[in-house]
Amino acid sequence: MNEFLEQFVAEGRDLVEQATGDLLGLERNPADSALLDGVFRAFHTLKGGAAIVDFHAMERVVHAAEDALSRIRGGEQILTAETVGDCLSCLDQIVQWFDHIEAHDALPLDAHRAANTLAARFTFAIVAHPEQIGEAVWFSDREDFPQARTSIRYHPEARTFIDGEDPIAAFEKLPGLLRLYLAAPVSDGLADYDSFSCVLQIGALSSASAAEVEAFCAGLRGRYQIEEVLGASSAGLDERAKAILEAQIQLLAERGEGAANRVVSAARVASNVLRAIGRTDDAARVDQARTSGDDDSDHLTRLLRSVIEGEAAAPAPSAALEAARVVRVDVDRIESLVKLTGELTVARNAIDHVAKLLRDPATQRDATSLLGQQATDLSRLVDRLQKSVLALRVVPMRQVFQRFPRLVREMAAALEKPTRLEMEGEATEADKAVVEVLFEPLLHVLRNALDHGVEPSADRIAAGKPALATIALRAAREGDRVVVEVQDDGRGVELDRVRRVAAERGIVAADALGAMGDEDVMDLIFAPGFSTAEQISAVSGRGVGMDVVRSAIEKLGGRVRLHSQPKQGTLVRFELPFTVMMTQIMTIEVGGQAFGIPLESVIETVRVPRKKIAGIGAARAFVLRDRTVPILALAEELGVSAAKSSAPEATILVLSINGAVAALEVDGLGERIDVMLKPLDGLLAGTPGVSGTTLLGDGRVLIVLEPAGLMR
Amino acid sequence: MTVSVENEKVVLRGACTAEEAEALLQHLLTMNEPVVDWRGCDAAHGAVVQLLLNLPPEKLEGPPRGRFLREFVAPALEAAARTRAFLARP
Repeated sequence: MNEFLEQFVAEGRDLVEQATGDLLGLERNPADSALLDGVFRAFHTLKGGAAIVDFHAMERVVHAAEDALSRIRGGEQILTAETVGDCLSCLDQIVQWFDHIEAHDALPLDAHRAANTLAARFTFAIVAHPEQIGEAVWFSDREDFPQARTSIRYHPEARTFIDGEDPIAAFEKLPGLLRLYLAAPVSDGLADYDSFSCVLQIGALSSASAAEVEAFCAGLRGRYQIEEVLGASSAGLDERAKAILEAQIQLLAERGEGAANRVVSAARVASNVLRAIGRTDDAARVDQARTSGDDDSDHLTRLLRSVIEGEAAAPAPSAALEAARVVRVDVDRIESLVKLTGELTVARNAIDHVAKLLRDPATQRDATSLLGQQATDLSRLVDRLQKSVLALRVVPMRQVFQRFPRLVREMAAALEKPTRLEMEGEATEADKAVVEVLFEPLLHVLRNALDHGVEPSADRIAAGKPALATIALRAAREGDRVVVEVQDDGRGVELDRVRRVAAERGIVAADALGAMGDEDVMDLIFAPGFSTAEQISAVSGRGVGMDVVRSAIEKLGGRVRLHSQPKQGTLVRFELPFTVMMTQIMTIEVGGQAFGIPLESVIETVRVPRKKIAGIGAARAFVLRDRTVPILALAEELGVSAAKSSAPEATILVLSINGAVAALEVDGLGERIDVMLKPLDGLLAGTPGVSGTTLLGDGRVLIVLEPAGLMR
Repeated sequence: MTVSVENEKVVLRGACTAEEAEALLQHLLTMNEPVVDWRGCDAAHGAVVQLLLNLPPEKLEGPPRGRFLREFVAPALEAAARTRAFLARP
């Protein structure tokens, strides 16, 4: 990535962060003009930057948002929650583009499509009003123009006529003009008609490319929107029509009086739109829903949803799915690597010298002590090298936190639970691989916090809490680990309910439940198949549970814990390794083969007389300090032939697995070593019980086991 | 004069400018059931076309003489009128 681009992205991320903060503040306090100014300036600067680096799609989106903000500043438009949401969506898109730019030096190929949709939200704010439908049905005849490539919508400025311009005649010069569309708000009679005010809405289909049309539109005054026409076969619902249908769904979602009227009116508008664009079958279904007499808004909502989604184009490959393969590195870090290389060269030269001394019997004695010293120096250097190399992959948590303010806001709105997200420690750094994996688990936990933790406002007030809930998202470095926490001030986890659900779903036998301590019960939330949501809600409860969160974190070598205080809230704590590469392992021997076990899961090693090991059914166990610990014979688990168990004592490794204690019987214990763990890939990826491989000093490949997988 | 009243009809001729939109408006306001004949029209400013958008299609006598008006503007006016009529139905 060139320096220009690098600076643009780095500054852009800061601007996005600032603007996000200001927007959220503005939502709480819409009259704060300083915040509005801050948001406006951020968008303005982003626009300038995008123009300099020639990212036109980004520039267009930011420009549209800036225009809207400018109208709000000028008092022409009022600030609505919708506009705030649109601005946040815009920032979210920009962050995703930044990620793409860092990986590929350019915007994704389909950026202009996303840009159009976003820009349209600002430029053509939808009012679910019959007047707007005129425009909604444009382009519905585009199949009659197979050569059509581009569509244009243009809203000239109101003073266009006064300024002596002719917006319609201008379209005569549109390259490849195929079809013209016109609309104007319908007025009741002409009594109030102002012939000097331009209220025209002009549309056109063109056979020219979007770029050519863009060049033409650059000369127009007012707001315009260019879209590429989809192939006739994949022609979906017009964006306008879709937006109007969406608006009806929103209308239906409103609660309170007049529900029946809303259903009738939404159905009428939807049916009109569908008929106007030639979807008579769908329109008939909508009419039927209306005339069936029931005021079942859910039925109509589902129907409209299916009409819209039935049209959803094939999902574009998500940029988020392409893991970024590029890391931005601070120049200082490279400098320190260069210095280290120099020192390593010096160390090698010193070893050459020692080698020379060794050849001469007279100096051999000196050489030996010198060699020891060199080895110490060298190991210090290698240590530093390792740390420096790992530091190259370090990124701030901000990269994953950045998207949450908008997502939390949206989820909170969907659930009607006003919530404030407080973020701390965004600058905390961690390995890129760790940070990248965190998004999904954190999103899941935040969702749970909002959906299950935070109470409805009325309940909060009744409980003496502020109506506005607070969710804190924090990151901090603790030693060689990074801790990320999500804390809510909601109702907390009700242990009785956890017990009941665990029993109902057969996660733990009822009698075992009785014997479990509160903390163990709490831990059941992470058990596969557990979900306390009594009904599937739109936000969470899609069948993916906290077990997925836990396994994602454990794959990284991390841990998840949940603490909860009834009525006061819940804290979910992720402890993650700073880097995923270095792992301390202990080597063990089974059936003549060496394996590794991550040291962090080993509690202790003991020798147990064989007669103290009791068979319990098909399993075996022994008593360790008054506690019964189950034993697995590792050789059997791995299917290798065990050494003759003639020794009077068994060598036992006591392990902690998700808080439970279990033991492995091995043939012998080896040493503790720091290794760079290489995850299994290709066909072997995902082999249960194996977390990866590493090379030993003598060149052998060591398989490192994953105890939790073995015990499953 | 490109906007005039002849035989109870408003007649547009030649190139109609933005200023003439006002004259057209006055005719439309004062006449009972006005009919506009634009068959002799070569070009019409957007302000004039915007006004014509308010006219039911059967009250507009065409096609106009100008190629751009005939091929592009007239069909757009017709389609807009169809949509309006459709939305106005009970």
